[in-house]
Amino acid sequence: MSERQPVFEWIMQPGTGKALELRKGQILRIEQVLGAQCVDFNCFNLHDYKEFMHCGRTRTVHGFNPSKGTFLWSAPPRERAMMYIAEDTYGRNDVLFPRCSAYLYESAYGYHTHTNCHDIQSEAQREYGLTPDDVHDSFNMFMCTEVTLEGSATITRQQSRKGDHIDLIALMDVLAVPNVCGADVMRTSNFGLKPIRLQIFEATDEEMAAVPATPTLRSQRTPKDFVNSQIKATRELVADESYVPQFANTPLPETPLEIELDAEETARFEALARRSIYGDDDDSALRDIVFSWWENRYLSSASGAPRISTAE
Amino acid sequence: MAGKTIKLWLNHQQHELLERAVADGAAPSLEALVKRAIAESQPLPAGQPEVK
Ligand SMILES: [Zn+2]
Repeated sequence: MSERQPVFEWIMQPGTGKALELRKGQILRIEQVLGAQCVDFNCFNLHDYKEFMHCGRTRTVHGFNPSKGTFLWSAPPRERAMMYIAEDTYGRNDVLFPRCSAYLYESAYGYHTHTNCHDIQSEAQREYGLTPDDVHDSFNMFMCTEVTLEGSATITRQQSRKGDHIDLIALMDVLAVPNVCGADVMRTSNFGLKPIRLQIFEATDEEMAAVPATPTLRSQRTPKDFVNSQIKATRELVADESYVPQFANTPLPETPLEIELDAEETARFEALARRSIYGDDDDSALRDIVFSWWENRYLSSASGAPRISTAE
Repeated sequence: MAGKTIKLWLNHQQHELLERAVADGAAPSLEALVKRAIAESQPLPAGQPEVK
């Protein structure tokens, strides 16, 4: 697609970001002009800003480094694939770290004011009436991070080059908000700030056909499914006198199923029972055995992770 | 070792998931399904923590 003419082109200068309307079927290319520049990224459903990209969901499905062939998912209860990463020539991104913020630069570096991703995101999306509280955790492009064995996340230097790019296909109409990460005193972008090229292309039928199908489920709820679908307009939180809880599937009483085990089955059960967790609680130990067996037999995703393929 | 009777307590959501496996043909009854799970599960290799 290198010969294709972009329908929009913009050079994002250091310290800035840009809110861009993308229609379903358009591609946003985010490209290194000089190399070694981290880009923070957010997106919103263009027609309902309360649906937004969710790093937590994305990281559960695709791991800590979403790259080519993965999706950016919206937060529950929407949980839809918003964008698809069709190309990623460098292949290092991050969804562990939140955007950098003014607090970071003031507390750790002593700056009164300093370029930071949160405030740059805020300023870019202000064009669309959003507030600083509407910035969400970012998809951090070209950002190299690691997780230590002790469980903490660290940032490393990066080696992206001029021309390295990420292509994001919009799977719904979105407001996409990339920004040049403001971290010039950190290793995130190798202690420098560089411009980033943004281009929008129309995806071809072949490119759209190459996007894997994702499930359409009843659980992907939108405001029409909410008990309360009104966006709250006041800041104070006050209890609703008429509130009646409507927790799904409640109450959840348990009923017993009597399982008679013969001597051989009992011996097998004893070999399987996780006594260090359940002690002498046979009921809990047996429930673990049964549902672990179910996971092995029926679950096609990792325990706790949503399934995203539509194939049986 | 003598046999024993265990009361397996299930809420309706847990019940439903196992009933679906029965309907799927995994076993003729819930009790048989539980026994199949016991029969087909592998004891942990020595040294592996039970929480995993
Ligand atoms: Zn930043």
